[in-house]
Amino acid sequence: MKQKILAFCLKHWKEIGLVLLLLVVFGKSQYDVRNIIKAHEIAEQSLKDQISTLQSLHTEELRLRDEALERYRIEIEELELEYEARQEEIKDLTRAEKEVIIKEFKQDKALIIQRFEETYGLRYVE
Amino acid sequence: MLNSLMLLALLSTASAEDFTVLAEDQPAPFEGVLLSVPAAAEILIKHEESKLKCDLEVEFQLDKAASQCKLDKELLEARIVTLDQQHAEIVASKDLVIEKQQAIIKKQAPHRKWLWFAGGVVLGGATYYGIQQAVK
Repeated sequence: MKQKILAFCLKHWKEIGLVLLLLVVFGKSQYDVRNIIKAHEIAEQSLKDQISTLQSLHTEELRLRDEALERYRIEIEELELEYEARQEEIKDLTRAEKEVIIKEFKQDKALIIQRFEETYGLRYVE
Repeated sequence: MLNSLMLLALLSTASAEDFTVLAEDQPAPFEGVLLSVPAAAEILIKHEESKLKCDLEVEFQLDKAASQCKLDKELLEARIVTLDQQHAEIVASKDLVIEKQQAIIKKQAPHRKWLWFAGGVVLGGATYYGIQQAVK
């Protein structure tokens, strides 16, 4: 049996060699493909991780932005309220001051003269 | 007649920036606009009111601009922080990929390539020689 196998191998050594070579080439190409797939999988996983991280960072940025916008809205609201209150205050002050001027005119005309002179720089003529 | 003459004389001497205060039925020393006391008070107070309103408006607009500026700053800071983190994350991720892929490449292309090549040539030659000898 051994003799037969040896004789067969010796007779067809080229074919056997070719088959063995093909097997080696096939094995090597499979190994290469496996490595390429592995490299691709690594790149894919990395990209997935990146997307996930970027999404969480984006969410965090949106949260910060919303917080800043909310703070801004409150600040503007407070400013507007204060502005309106002070406008009312000026109105009240003006009304009160007008009364004072009218009273002053009745009591002491010199005061209203002085006010006109100081406010508008006009010259009083007797 | 005398009064009219005196009034005319005063009218001719009154400058554009003069004013006077009159009692009821008192003749005016020059031609001009007569205002009631409340109207005069209104004119006096309007000046002060305008000043106060102007100051308030300036202050309000400045405060609003400061708030807007603060908001812009905060938004930009948030953007910078995010971009910094994104950059660091991407660089770290790329480094990891490069490291892993380099390991794969190194596994496929081992060191001493020429030795492997020479070994392959020698082995191939020896096989060929062996087979030739066996065939003889």
